[in-house]
Amino acid sequence: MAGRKQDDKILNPLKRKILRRRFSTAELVFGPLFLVLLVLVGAWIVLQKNNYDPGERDIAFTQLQEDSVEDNLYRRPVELWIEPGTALAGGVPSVDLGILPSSLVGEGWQLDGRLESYDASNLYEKINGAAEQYLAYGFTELNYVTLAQGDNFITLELYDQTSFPNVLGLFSAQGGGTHEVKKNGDMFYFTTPIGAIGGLGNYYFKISGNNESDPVVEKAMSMVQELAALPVSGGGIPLPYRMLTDRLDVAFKQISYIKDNAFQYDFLTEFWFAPLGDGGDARIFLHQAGSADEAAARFGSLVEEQAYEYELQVNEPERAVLQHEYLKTIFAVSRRGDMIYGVDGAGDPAAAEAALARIEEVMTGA
Amino acid sequence: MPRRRGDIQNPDYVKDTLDRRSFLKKSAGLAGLTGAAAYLGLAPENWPLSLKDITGRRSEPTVESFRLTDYRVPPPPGVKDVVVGRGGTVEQRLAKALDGIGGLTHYIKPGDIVLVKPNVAFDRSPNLGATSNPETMDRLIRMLLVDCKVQEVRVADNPIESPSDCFVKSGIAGAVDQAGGRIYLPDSNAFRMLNTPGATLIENWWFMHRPLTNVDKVIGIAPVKDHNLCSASMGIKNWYGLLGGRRNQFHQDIHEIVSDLSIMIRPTLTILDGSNILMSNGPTGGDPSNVKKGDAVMVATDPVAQDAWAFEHLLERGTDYPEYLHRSEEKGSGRVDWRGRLEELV
Repeated sequence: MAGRKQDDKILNPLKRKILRRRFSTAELVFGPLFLVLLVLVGAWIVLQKNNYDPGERDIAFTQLQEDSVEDNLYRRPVELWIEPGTALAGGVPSVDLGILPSSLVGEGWQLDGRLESYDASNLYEKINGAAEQYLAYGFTELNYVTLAQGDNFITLELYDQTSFPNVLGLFSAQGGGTHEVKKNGDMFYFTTPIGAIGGLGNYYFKISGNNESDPVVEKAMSMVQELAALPVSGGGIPLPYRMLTDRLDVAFKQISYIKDNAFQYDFLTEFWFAPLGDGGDARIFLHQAGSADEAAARFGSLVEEQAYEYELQVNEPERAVLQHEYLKTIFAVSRRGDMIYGVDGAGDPAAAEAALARIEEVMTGA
Repeated sequence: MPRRRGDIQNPDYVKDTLDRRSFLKKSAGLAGLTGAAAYLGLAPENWPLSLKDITGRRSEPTVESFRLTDYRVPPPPGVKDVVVGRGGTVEQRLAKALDGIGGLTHYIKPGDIVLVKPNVAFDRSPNLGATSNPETMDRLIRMLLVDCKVQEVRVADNPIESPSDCFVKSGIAGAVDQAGGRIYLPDSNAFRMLNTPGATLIENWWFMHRPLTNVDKVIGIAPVKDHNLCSASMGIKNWYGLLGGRRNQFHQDIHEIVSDLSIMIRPTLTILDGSNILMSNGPTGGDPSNVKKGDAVMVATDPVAQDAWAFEHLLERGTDYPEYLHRSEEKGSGRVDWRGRLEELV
């Protein structure tokens, strides 16, 4: 009675006790074989780890495309969603491009990807190997976008270099001064066959297309126009530079800027230079100090130091004219308010006086 | 009938008795096990077999490193270590250089899996000279597939920027796709710890290993370009692109890392493409006027001599070679002095 009940049970509560009296050979063979198979699979997984051959397992992108079927899960809405309060340009919802003008997008040019931003800590992610040069010139932020129209694309790199002198230094370090530099308001730039490179205030920009076709070149030039209206920070354009370019009509490539140790004096920083225009090595210089008192102090120190090698001919509180002991060239320097200006290496006092008078004339206008 | 307390549920069950001897044995066994576990867990870390882990460092997973195969193939007798193909189209220059070094079929056999490593470091268009020339890539892959009858041509690089953007905008993705190669983009599982004996900075460092699995031959194909930090980026510097981890820190000692790269991998061939030479503002460029059109494609079994010649003749920098070339020579990767070991085929 009890034995029949046990035979009828589906689950065996006696655990180790076998209720069946005989097993088929197939069952007996299958059990160990299955265990061996499991062990082999486990061993294979352990040995393979993460070191499989991608050629054996990865599915080619083209294969995925061929095997794919059209899915109809998403249907384009009848009308594009427009965020309330945003402006429309040409029927396309405006795009948030951060500090970049949103009007860059339009007329068939679409944003490819997203606006990318990098700071000093991760600039290497974008321009690994070149980042150090930008960092040396006060880099703080890079905004990067790609615009695409069919097979054409243009990238815009906008580097915030903190101040205009930094931008000028970077532009010069990258050989920008060797090109024919154009002006557009406060912007300076030169064109390349596929774009433009230049600066505006604290911004340094590069525009590069992927070819020299008309649409790419036209778009690049329109981007230059758009960028010219960008609000700048970092102190704007320094007055000495503006005087040299706007009032004294000095060509861009003739302007030089010395950040530290002007005339090899550690107390003289941020001096702007340009040729006198007499065909020789003489040059005019301009400097804007932080205040009139600071300018007075620097003026006094400069005259005092120069007197070791020059003979003082005129020594007034706001003007000094000195002649080099051996070269006999004239060094003239004046001060007005927070500005220090002068001439270095003039052939005679009259030429130096004429240059100072010209600077004072434009300074009055400025 | 209701079950009473003490009833045996199963009639077959026979209660076993525990005699004194068994009790003592089991007690002793239990005490031994408890003592052993207590020792393993509580004994000071420097005691034998101790598993105590106050800092947590002992339980960190250990990373097993691997070493790369030497992919070099002995060149046929009589050929030079470096061959420069000049004149004609890119394809002709490449063919001249490959023929001069003994023919591609000498180095690559039918059925091989070949990894081609271009420089796709930036998402720049090819006309800026910052990345490998797509046209040269296209021709090389076709030669490998058609002339050498290889099983597969893999193309891989690990740009710090978005890899897919870099491959697409540099034109390499299109060239590889058209020619019949296959691109392997990096992912988090593609890296393994590589052990490079003799390397100073990367003796054990993360390396993009996945595309190299089962690969028989490796070919590097690099542009010639100026570099802001190490003066020039050419054939040896190209292998930097297979490193993982925070590799940007190596820029602090760039000449040492580039010389380490020269012993990290021993490629079958190194191809240096002097078709678009980035003369200044490298490695990224941005101004096409910095790119000089050249008419040289170099193939070499000595990457050090190859880089030295390219530095002197393609970048036109004279014989004041970058420091990393001298250090590479000291590490046994080749010889800077290319004289007598180079052939130009016009």
